[in-house]
Amino acid sequence: MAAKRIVSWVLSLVLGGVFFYAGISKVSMPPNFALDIMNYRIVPWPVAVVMAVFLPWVEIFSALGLLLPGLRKGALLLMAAMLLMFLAALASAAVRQLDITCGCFGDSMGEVVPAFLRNCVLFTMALVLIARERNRG
Amino acid sequence: MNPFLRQSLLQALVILALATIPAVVVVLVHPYGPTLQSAALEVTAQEVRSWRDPVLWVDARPQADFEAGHIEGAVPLNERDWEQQIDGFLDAWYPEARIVVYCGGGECNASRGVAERLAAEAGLGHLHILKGGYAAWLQSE
Repeated sequence: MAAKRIVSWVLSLVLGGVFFYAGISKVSMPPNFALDIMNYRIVPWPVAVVMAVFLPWVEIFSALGLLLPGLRKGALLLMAAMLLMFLAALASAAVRQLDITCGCFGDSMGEVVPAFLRNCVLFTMALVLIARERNRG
Repeated sequence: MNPFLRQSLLQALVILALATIPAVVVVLVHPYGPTLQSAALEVTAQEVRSWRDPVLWVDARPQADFEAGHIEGAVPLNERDWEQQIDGFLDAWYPEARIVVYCGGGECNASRGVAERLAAEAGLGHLHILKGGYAAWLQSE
C-alpha cells in the first residue's frame, strides 16, 4: 500500500512538474508558440492563436490541480487528453516527414521523435494515475 | 454517466474555466496582443540580422520596385501578381527558413497582407513582417 502511494506520488510529481514547466516556458510568448503550432500545418492561424494563448494556462492549472484533491481527477483527465492530442500531432508530423521542432517547451529545440516517445511515457503515467484514482473511488 | 467520469469532467471544466481568466488577460495586455490577431510577428532589421536561422525574404512591393532593388535573395510576391509569383515563392521556400515579408516602409500594409495570405492559404509558419520595410533594412546596413 505504502509502495503504491509512493509510486503515485512520484508519478504525480513528474507529470505535474513537466506540465508546469511546459506551460510556464510558453506562456510569455504566445505568438512564438502560435508559429510553432502553425508549423504542424494542421490548424489555421486563428485556431493556432487560441491554442497558443489558452493551452499553456491549461497546462499550468492542470499541474496545480494535480495537487488539490478536489481537482485531481479533472487535472488527470485534461493531461491525458492533451497528451493524446500532442501524440496525434507529433505522429502526424513524423508521418509527413515535417522537419520541425516540437514546440513543446517554448524554445526552438526539441525533435519530433524524442518528443513523441517522451509523451508516450507521460501518457502512460497519466493512465496509471487515472486508474489509481478510479480504484480509490 | 459513470460517476467517476462525471466527476472528472466537472473538475476538468473548472480547470478550463480557471485557465480562461489569465488567457483573456494575456490577449488584452500582452505587448504582442495585436499581433495575435494577424498572421505574423513584426521584427526589426536588427533582430533579423541577429538570427542564426536561414531567412527567406519575400518582397511584397510592386514588381517594378522589386526590379529596381531588393534585399539579396528575396523573392517577389505581392497580392496583385499573386497567381504569377506564388510558384516562384514555393520553389524558393524550404521548411527551415523563417519567412520575412517586407514592403516599402513606414505604414505600408502590403507585407501584412502577403503574410496573412501565406498563413491562410499555404498554411505556412515562421512568418514575420519586417518593421519599417525595405527602407528600414537599407538604413540598418
